[in-house]
Amino acid sequence: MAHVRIKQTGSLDRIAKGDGLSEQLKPFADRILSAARRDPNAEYTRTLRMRRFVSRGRLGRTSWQVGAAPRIGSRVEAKRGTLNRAVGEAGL
Amino acid sequence: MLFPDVEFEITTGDLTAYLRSALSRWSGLTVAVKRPETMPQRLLTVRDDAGPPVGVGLILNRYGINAWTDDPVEAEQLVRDAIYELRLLPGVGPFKATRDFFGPTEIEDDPPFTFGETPLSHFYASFAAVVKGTSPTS
Repeated sequence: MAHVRIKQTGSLDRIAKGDGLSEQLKPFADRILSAARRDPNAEYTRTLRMRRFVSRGRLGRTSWQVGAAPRIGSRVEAKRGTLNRAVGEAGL
Repeated sequence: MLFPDVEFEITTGDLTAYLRSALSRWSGLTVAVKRPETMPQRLLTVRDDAGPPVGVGLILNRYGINAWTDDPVEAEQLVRDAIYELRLLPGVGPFKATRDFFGPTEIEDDPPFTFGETPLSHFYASFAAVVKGTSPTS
């Protein structure tokens, strides 16, 4: 199981949405994306993207989202579990 | 560094047996690891997507659940029922916990699978389970 250590130097709210946490999480998203790119379906891998997302509000936090185009993405996921496996390969 | 002498057995057989029994109210339901050549009227498959270690002798194993029936509402309900039953899985065999449930999501097969002449509706879900290994020497 992957662990991330963060030294608290500000409010939790600011840390949860901040660039520091985002930089700590990005390597996991990179690993997921590169594992998913090994899928044999070229049409699927062409649509794979990752992007940073910061949710709003008091409980807002930063996250990285890795996904593919909706129809082909769900079809490949149902057939081979590409992202499901990629998340596991990233140690999450 | 010492590594624990633990092996992890194939769990899809345990899962299919569990779901076959738990979903016995679904008449004519086939629960299998692989999709058969000829599609039955109602089919649920369990796929092992592997996962990382999460402690000594434990792994977080991910699974994919696919369901096809000749009625779209039934197909979705079948996956929902499977998820409900899988939430009750901890304590059965090597399964210690379940988490990260996702779905049901409708999948558009192109071309659709058929039962006879009838096109089948397809829904998908995934989840993760904490699975305990066994010591080969015990």
